[in-house]
Amino acid sequence: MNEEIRALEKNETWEIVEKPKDKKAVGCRWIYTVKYQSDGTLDRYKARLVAKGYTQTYGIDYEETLAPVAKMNTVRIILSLAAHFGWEMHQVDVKNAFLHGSLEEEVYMKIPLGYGAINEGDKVCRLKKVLYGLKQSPCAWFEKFTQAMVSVGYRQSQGDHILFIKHFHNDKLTLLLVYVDDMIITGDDEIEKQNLRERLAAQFEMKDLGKLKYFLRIEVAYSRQVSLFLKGNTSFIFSKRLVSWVVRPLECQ
Amino acid sequence: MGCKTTGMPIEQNHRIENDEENPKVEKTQYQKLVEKLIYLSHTRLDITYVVSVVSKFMHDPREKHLHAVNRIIQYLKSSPGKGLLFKKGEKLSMKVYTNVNYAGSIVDRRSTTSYCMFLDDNLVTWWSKKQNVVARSSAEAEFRTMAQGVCELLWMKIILDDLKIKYEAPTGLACGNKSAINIANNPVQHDRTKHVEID
Repeated sequence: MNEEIRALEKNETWEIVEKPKDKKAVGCRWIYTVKYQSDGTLDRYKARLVAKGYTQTYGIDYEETLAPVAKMNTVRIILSLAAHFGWEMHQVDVKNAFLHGSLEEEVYMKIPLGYGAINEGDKVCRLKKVLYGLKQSPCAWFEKFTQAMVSVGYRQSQGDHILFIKHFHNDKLTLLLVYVDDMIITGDDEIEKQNLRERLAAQFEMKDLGKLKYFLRIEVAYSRQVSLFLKGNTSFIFSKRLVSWVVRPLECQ
Repeated sequence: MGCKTTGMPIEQNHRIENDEENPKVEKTQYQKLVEKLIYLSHTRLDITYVVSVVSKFMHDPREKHLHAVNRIIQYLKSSPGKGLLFKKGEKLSMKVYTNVNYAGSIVDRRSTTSYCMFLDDNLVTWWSKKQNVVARSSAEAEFRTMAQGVCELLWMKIILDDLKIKYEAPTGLACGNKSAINIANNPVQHDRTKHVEID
């Protein structure tokens, strides 16, 4: 929790102001989750401050709510191209992605519980950056990210907006595919891929997950460097919860 | 899970429809399960059609529909670990194969479009969806499906052009209906095809 507060402060997410009379403040709450590693052992406890976006009104508090998600078709096209040309694929993940987006509307939020001693009177937080839970968060994040990509010379594909492309004079090519905060970087230009990762890391807090293995709950396996195998998650079929459910409704009739 | 396995995800010539008399089943659980199946169909195209059938009853699932879902699960159990394989081919070419289930829906007799598109020898996109109008002949239904397939081809072409990737021309379109191919080759206005233009 302290870590989250520190991240928010470092990011200059809000400033404490006197609440204007004619504005409503959005509530907020803490969400606690336990993160597990892929082998099932405890990873860490995570606290996330979210705003109660469902109290916002369209037209007053927010306008656009577009969320940038990739078409599965595009993902498959890129993966098959990567297999065809033998490109290496890297997966990166942005930490606290939504917190990077800046806020255009005026949004006030109640001061989060357990935060400082200034919890008195009519003070509220005026948000400068978006928080998780606000209606405009995904949109603001994507806008910010697009700006960052354009500033390093990338172009948005017209076929699908989540695909960013950069060409070089020597016919080399680098691609970036973004799915909210998960990204795949691929292409035939090793140096540019490295550069891109460094430049993005300078602007956002990134986690480099190395070679693409697990994207959107789809497993990617490699064989002999060239062919790829995509496998969806079928574990739900074999989970205990499903067994008990499938059997139960038939019994209780 | 201790169920029997089956080689087919759905009965042949199934008659799954809205059924008021069948006993109800728990809605949220049904929805959760179908939701997972929908997600799984991103890598398993063999269940695309059956998932589209069962997801038509999300608002009011009955026991019969649940049996259909169970059957899909039995089918999946018979072939776990299947997925998509992307290989390196020799030339980059695009091909679309289209087919239609003419008047396949027993509820409203609309046809079901389906196509799958290959980039190189790798399957990249597919589609199985009920058409939104009633077709008056199988040729008409096939023709609509071809149009849908061409749309997909053009979209992929935009992406490849954007990437400046060279591909093998011409692109291929395969369809199993002679008269639909004739209409596509010779798009002269015709008494019986006039109404197709409208939508």
